[in-house]
Amino acid sequence: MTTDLPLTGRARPDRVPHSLPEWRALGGYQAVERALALTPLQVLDTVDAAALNGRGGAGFPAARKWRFMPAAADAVSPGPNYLIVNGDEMEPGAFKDRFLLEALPHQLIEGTIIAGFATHATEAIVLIRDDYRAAIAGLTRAIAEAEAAGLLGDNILNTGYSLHIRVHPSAGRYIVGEETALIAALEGGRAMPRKRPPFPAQSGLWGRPTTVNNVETISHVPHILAHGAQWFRALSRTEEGGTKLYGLSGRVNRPGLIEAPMGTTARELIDRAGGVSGNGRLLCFQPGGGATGFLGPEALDVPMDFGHVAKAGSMLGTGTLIVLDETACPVEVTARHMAYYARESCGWCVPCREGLPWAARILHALEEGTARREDLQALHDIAREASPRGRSFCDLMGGAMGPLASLLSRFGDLVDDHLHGGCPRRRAP
Amino acid sequence: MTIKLKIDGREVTVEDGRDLLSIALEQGVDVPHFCWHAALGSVGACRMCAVKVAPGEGTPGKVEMACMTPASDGMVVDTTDAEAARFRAQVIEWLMLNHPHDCAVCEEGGACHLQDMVVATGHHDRRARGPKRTHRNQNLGPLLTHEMNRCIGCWRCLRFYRDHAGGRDFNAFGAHDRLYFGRAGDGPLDSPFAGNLAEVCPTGVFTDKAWSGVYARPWDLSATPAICTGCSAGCNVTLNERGGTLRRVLNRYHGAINGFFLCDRGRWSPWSVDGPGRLTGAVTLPRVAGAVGLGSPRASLESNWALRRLVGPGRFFAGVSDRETALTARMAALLKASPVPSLTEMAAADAILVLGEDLTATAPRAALALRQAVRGAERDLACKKGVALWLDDAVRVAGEGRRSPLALVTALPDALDDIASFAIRRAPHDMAAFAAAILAALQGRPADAEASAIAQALSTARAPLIIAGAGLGLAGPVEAAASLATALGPKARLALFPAEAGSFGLSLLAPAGGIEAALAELERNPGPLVVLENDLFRRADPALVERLFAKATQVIALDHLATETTTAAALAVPVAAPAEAAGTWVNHEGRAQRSFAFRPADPQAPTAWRVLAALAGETPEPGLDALLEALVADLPALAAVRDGAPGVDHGPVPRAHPRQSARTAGNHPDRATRTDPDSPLSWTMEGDRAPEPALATWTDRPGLHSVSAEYAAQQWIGGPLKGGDPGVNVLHAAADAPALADPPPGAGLLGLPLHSPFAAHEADAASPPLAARAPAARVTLHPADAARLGLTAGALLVIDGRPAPAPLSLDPDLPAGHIGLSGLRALRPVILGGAP
Amino acid sequence: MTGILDQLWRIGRMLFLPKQTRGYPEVKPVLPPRYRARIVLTRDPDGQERCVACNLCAAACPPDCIEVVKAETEDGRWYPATFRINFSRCIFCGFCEEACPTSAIQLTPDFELADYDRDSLLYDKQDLLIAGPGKRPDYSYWQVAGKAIAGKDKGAGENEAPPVDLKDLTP
Repeated sequence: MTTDLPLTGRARPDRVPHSLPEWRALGGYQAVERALALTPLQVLDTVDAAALNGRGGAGFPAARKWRFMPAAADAVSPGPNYLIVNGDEMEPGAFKDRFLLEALPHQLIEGTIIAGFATHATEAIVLIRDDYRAAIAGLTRAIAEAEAAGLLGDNILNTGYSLHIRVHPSAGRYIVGEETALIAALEGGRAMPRKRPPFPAQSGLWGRPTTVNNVETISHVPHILAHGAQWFRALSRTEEGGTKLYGLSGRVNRPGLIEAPMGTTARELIDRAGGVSGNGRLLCFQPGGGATGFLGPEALDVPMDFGHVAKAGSMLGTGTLIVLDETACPVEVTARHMAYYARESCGWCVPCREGLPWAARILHALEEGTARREDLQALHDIAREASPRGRSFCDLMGGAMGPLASLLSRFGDLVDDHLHGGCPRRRAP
Repeated sequence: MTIKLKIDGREVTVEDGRDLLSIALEQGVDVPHFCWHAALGSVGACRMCAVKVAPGEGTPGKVEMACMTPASDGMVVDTTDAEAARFRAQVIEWLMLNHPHDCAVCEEGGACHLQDMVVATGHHDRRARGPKRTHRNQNLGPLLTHEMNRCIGCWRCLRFYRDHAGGRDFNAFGAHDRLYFGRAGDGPLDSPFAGNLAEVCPTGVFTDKAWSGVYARPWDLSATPAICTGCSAGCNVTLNERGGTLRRVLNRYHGAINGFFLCDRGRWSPWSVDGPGRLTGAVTLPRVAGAVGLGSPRASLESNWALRRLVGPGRFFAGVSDRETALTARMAALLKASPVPSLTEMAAADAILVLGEDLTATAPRAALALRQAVRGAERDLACKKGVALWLDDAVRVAGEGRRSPLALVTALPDALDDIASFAIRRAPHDMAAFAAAILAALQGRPADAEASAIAQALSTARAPLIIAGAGLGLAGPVEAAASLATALGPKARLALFPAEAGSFGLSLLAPAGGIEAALAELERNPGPLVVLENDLFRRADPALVERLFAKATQVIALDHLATETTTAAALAVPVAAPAEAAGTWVNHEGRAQRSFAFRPADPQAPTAWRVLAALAGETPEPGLDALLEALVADLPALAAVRDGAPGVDHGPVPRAHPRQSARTAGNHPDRATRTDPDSPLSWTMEGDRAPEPALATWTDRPGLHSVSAEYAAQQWIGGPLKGGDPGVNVLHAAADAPALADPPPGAGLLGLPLHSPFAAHEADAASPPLAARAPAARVTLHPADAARLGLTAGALLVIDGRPAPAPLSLDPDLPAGHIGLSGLRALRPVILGGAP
Repeated sequence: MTGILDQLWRIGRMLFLPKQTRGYPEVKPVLPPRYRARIVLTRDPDGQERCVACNLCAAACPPDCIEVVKAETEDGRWYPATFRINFSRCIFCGFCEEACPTSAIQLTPDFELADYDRDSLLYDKQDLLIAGPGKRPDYSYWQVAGKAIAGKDKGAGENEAPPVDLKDLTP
């Protein structure tokens, strides 16, 4: 049974997850049967042909990441391979993984088994942010159901492949979403990123070959195996395969999630979300959550996929749009984002640890009208020095510089105006 | 395989597989950095070492962190590039956002790496507004200060303390700009290497608390190269002086011994020199004839030889037990036969067996070397995974927690247990038997599982290392260690640690025996007794010492400390402390190194060898060089000690810093002593710094005044010093000595030494900061033994006729039939008196 | 000839010009307040001595005539146990005043320091310390240094945030 909305099509409107028998009645676990009848390499090639890009934010092709994982016979040292599913969704504006975790846990389990099979993993860990209580409980129950039915655990469906999945509620914060910091946290250490290379496939969790994938990425996998790579590619409007679970928040009339073909334009998405609210006229939007640069009305017809959005000067990221109308102030939005990223900095490297709180303070001063020209110059210096890749240790800083740099380049005059009495939107007429 | 790259226009050829930062620093290009440290590798936290890197000539460059960038063939590196310089300046501005305005009241000022880096980027003004972040400090005990406002989050302290030194009671708290480094609560840090935090920290968060109490700015301090006399490792130190008093002890880099780090005992023991425990008073020296002399394991080679000259070889004995004297001689003889590993070489061993020695307490710096050695297996696996060895954090992860095998055979739980693959507990007299089982397994004979596993590990290793020492005073483990090393063949290394810094030096002078032999000699031919720098009551059974004193016609004790021996002596003669006298010290490798005086000796307490010459009625030699000539004429086998350092004609080499202040503030410098008869080092600013590492004094250079900049003296980062690491081997002068056997333990209680890294002998107890840090003395019994003797915890015992140093505590880890005693020199029977 | 006459005229007319002689010591010269003469050590606005024995004045002094020895109070306040200036060597350049980060050491226009005994020119702290703040009446270094001392806790100074509470789990 194919559908235009494979990812969310089977979800119940009230988001209550299906029991195992209900899920199987809807066609669940057929993809697992199909996948385990192939070889891991065949599964990998299928997903590769489907052009599935990682949905966590970076957009790296999923199968290419999997290809680095060695089979047991090829490993440098004996021991397990790990698959980690990253459910630490803490990007401002992102709430898509929560839906998938709460409403469709078995879909995630299927994807995890297939991805685990392709990457020769023997153990999978789904790390979920602690706040997603319902998701944690639901997924834990679903895992128990699947194990009891022989669909998970030792010798799945008598194919000889074994995979154990455990749910790990995160004890950390935003930085745990960064894959190497996630690994450090799972090892019981401080959640601080690690340098790559070596990549997790060489040396990951406990030094073992490890893959980290986003919840949405994994959730697409069973459908690729069920209906084929070509079908998956055809769902998309562009070269990047499949559908995307887009989200919209901010100044739209009906904020929420929309599954749509990859490459759907922002115009269409905003339209389906009831159009711009506030004064109804779009000022700008962040295409992928708080860590992406502002795009303006000129980008409304850019296909929202990783390649096109990057070419347009921003990043698709999580694909959850934050929309501003003309009455909203991008300085305020950026200030809020900067305060968040400053608080979430892990403290390892200087630019992020020291530079973000300073930027947040300056933006706040701009809002309040207490900023001086010197402070604005300092803000420009921070953006200029910290934006290029490699300046900070991980991409938290780079992400935070997304909205800041685009604010300064796109809304320079508006920012400047804040020097003369604070936010013009708030000033008495 | 070598590669060629360009740094600032200059082509350099280096081995492949290195990072750009260490290459640049080696080439004399002082790229700014904070978190990188030669001993701790690259982690990329501070982002200060930004340079412009292009993969090839003519290709566009990108700003990269030099410490994290692997050098590749054809690379073009520009450290002066404007974009990179601007980023470095921005990093400094970020660091200075919260850094307090307290240089004026910070001990680090003047030798602060942060200051140097701030000046290097030209930062001079805080344009940021907004309050500075503040922190409460912790009281970290008597040795280290704590001022967290100053922290720049370079993470060096954590990496040194936890990763390098294995400490667990120190960690990072909080996140983002609220980061904090400290303990769970107030209290001294557990690790005996915590003092290195004062040098590892590039700002003033951790500084030497003893120095702070008698503070003088770094540019006001004179610097004298010296040798630590705390144990037989022979670490190199720099003694800082101002106004005639000791102000600070710093690590002096030695590529083969201590590298960048000291232990706390070595760092603070010299403070006894100005402490209340000094022996003082003017004495008229009598002429002494026909005396028996007791040499000292904590005196220099020269002082011991001068005593030997005074009393004659036949009347010259060691101020320790006969057994220890014989054991030390046997150790020297055993080591003479094989290449002895330096501490650096020990850190490269890939399978290690320690027989009986509590190395963390008896030779702490060696224990630190073992902590690095066990990382070998981790490094090997990381290498196989293609991880560069300089990427320290990545190596630790990729190494999957593997450890090169370390087998510890000790009587009590050991500080190195956390890194040991085999933590084996045996009563001291059973250790030789266990070693014999390992030998049996090596030779294919049946043995128990543990011994077989250890034998397997040692035989398959590329560079096995066997370690024993004098910590228990037993010959068994030493002989067994030697047998095992022989059985393992030429790839094996044997390291034997004598009791003290002067033990091997004394042994090379062929004392005719120990205290018991001296007593016998006095019984045969009565006469006075001359005791050199030694509290005999701490080094042997007090009853034996009392019999010895009673037999002598007169007891003359020379010492820099007031001890029970000097009090009991008829004549107590103050002499210069080791820190106040030039002298030669022979370490566990047989490396003879020259130590120099940090200030002229008090005329009322001259160097011991000068006093001994006067006791002989002779005029002392004019200087150390002449004395060494006489020594070598007497014992030609020791000729090499003359090469320990350049002679007095080589000077002047200034001790005093050229930037020092207050020269005309009324101290009348024209009346100060200028030349030092015992060394080429002058007391003044006269002369130029010497290229010879043995004469290395202050190390700062223009723009780089802190210890973080001391890589410049090394041939390559972490390698030997330019000009060669100091010291000459003299072990060939050791006499052959037959194998020793231990007497059977007997039926009574055996005293088991409870060694402490913070308190080895009386000089440590006389150092006020070290005494404040040292743990309380302990007296322990196994609960079953206590019950058998009708004793309970808290009992006040009388041991060998003297009150015990502490109330009894019960310890189930103690081997049966033993009583644990702090301050005990070696295993020996003790008599419990006064017990019901 | 004209040269001689010219000279005689130039020099001779000085007899009739007003005398520039000042009647010192009855008439004291009027000196500008920044005139560099006697050195003093000043106090904070709250009356405590300003000098923190940082040694920058001693380091900056070209003839090295200043000796400073640091001591510390129970509560961690640095102060000079010894502060000595050898005025027989001092060149009154004012580098010490420029170097001082706490405005402790200052030069005053009092130039009347001459003495017959060289040892009397060694001024110690009791000879240097004055009762007031001198030229910068409002500056108190301890309010901006970050360190905690009696009367100024962590976070209680100018431009300081309250000390971080490590047990606080909120972001």
